[in-house]
Amino acid sequence: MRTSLICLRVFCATLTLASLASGLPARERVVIQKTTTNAQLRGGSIYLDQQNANSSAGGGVLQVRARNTLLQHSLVLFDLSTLPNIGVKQATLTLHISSPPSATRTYGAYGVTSFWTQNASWNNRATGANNVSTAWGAAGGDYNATATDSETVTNASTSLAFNITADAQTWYQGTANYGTLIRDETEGNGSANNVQTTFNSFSDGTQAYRPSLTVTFLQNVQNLTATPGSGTVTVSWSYPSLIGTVLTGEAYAGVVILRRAGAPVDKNSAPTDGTAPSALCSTVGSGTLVFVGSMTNTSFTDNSVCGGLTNGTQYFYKVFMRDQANYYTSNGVDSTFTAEIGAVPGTTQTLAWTAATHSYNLGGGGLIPGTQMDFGSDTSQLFSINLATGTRAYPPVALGGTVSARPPILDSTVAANGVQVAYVTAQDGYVYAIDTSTTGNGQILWQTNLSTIGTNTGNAFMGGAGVQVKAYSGATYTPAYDTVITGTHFAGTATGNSIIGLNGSTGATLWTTTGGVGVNPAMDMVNSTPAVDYVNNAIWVTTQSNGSSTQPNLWKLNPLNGNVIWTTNIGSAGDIDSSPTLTQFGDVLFVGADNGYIYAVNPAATSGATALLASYNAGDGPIKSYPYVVSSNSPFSIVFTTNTMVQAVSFNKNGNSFTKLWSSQTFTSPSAAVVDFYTSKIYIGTGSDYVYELALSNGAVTGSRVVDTGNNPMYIGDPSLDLVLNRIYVTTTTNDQRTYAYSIPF
Amino acid sequence: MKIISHAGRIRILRQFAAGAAFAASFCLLGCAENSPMSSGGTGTPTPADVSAVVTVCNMTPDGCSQNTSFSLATIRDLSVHVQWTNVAPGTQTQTLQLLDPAGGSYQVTNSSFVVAEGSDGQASTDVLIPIRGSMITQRQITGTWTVKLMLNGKPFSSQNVILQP
Repeated sequence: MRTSLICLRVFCATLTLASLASGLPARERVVIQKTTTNAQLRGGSIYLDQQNANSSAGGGVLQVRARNTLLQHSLVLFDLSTLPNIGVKQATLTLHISSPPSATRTYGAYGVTSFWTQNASWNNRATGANNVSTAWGAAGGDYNATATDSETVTNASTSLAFNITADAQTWYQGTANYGTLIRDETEGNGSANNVQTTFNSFSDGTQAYRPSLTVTFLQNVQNLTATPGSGTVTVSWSYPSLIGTVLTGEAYAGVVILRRAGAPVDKNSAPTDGTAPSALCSTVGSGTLVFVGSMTNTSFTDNSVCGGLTNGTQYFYKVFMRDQANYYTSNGVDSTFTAEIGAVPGTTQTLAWTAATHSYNLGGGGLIPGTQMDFGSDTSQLFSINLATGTRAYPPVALGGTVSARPPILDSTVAANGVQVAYVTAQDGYVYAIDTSTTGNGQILWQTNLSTIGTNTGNAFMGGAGVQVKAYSGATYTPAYDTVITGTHFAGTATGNSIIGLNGSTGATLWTTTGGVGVNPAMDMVNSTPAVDYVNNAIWVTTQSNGSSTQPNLWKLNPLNGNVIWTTNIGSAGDIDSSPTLTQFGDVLFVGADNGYIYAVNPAATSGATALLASYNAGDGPIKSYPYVVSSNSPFSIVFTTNTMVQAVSFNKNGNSFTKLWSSQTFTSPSAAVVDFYTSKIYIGTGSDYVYELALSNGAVTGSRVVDTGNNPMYIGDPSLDLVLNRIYVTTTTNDQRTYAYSIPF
Repeated sequence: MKIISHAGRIRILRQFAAGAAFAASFCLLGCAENSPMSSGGTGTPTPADVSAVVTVCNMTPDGCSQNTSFSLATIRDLSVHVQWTNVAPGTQTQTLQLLDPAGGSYQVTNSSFVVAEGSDGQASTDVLIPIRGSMITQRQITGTWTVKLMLNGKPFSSQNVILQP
């Protein structure tokens, strides 16, 4: 077996060399269809039936009918997880007709604009695990007003094909993929419109009859790196293996590289398909064309091309694959997801990778260190990035609302459901459980609709989900599942918000604790992530307090039933937006409040009145995101960020006293901090262009990385720390909207 | 007020009567000033003369306090109400994009609604954008934000919102 493997590798290497020599074929094509080898976990097809407006018609077949009151629309959604890093050139949706219309009709294919589930009906687009539904904005489906393509179907038709290239390209440049809706273009009254067509669905017994999406594309280059020298940057890459079938007569011809100083090449800068590369040093959008290479090239040294490089200035490179017909790795005129990299000549500063998201998120990503980062976005998507390469592990997962908070991810060996799962809270009031493994490919395992609780009909989630992990819990935690805990943000009430516990395996609601209900005191909105206390068997939640010094801002709950153990307005502090943090052994809880104080709380206290141990006035505005507890034992070192600086204090549990350790220089709108224990370094993003490294010992700046100087003002989000690959990851805003990876220490 | 749909944090009122009633209640709660906008942006109306009136307010437990300038110290959620008129029959999609002071896209929400054949072409939407507890308040991203309105993917008009410290 060992010999076979070695031979196989030799064979593969030989094949690659041969391909490079002759030019890899390009414009690959695949047919996406549910098969025995492609389960289409994220795909599906259903139809919506106006006659049974509140019932799911299911996905046994797909039907389209044109007569008012009997209208039928069909929905298809393809799982494109086998194509995470491509530029789409063509996409054709094909439906097989099992029962043609009695008269000739014209059907339109429309891009869907809202999240929907497989049990959607004419009136309702999504239903949660708790059987609570969300209506379509427009009954019969939310979709673009203009058809992406229209085609005629006759009584003799056996199939129907739509060109949905324009929609498919948007799915690869930042728009959520909610699939395609098929409807008759002339719906109306009268028997003449009572014409119906039946299509085969994803579940059809004959595989060949199932809907298919034929995608023609170019891949991105791989393993893209940039190495700085004095006045030079060397860009290197490799070529991908083929995914699909090759179009006859076309071959990958090489690469075209655009360069830009100070900022990445804009997402709308791309060579024009069908046109040969323009002259060297010509301008393409915001980039300068600095290299046109053949397939023999796997690197390019930029030294005096189109003007020499200036040491200390960061240069970005966007690398397009090109084929012999001059197609490029772009999506029409956009190059959002085209491979790019950067480096600073004259220094050792280089990007490990960068990945464009076309999204705005400062909340940071959840990590499987060394493997994957998952983070949400303003565009209602969850991005999953391969941390080793910076490429998308699979295409972004389309959700129903903006994701503001960092999602927790459990490894499959830890999660009670045995799945590498991310729990994502969104502003649509849903909580999503997503299989983020490379076999699950972003499949949504369940979604629970908490947008309405009691009389509150507009719940959103701004904080993340806390998870009580069964594997980490003691004997008193009897359930077989993990419990997911989150709190609502509903601005319409300052007293009646809720904290909810969900079954991590099923999404079923275990308990709901609502302010003002029963014996519960008033609860203002929750903007933080709950903390799970495995020592004291409790859930800790911070809330706003309606600006009051008496309404609770700190809640201690029983994780088994959500019962309130006690509450308090800790330190009479008023509103709290930052998340509470426990020490490693659960002996002190630290809470940072909007009044600029850090509070030390005794988590074992039996009442809120006796819980406060000490307080410290940081004196620089609200405490951001969370206090970061650095040490395991008293005296504890705590690092936190305020309006303009990073600060550190020590808390001695014996004397219940805080001592200031240091405060840093001022920064422009610093992010929350992460601490690398091994190197004693702190990392923050800022509202300027830099990520800073600080010494844990005294807060002095020991290094920095310039991110993007061309899109000011730009905000850099809360970093994520990866101690397996020794990197930090940050997301950015404004016109940059990328994720960056930097090796640490700087 | 009849809530017809709920797309994300979007409530869409498809019936003009319901929309008018909502707008009235809105204004009773403090929405006194509207910003009429017509499509085209060059002063030349489109053939359909589609127009929209946008109001923004601070959603609080006591109601929605209308203004175009808000303090980050007091704002909770930004509520954006759009009243459409002369919209063509059929399914329509409104895209509301909130741009930060640097012009970058902060948040995008889509909302679809149906305008019935033979109706007067009016519809309204409401979008809630959380501010308190968001990165806007945490990072103190102040300045002139822009609510950019699109109908069926085409830019329609915009409304400035000032967020102050």
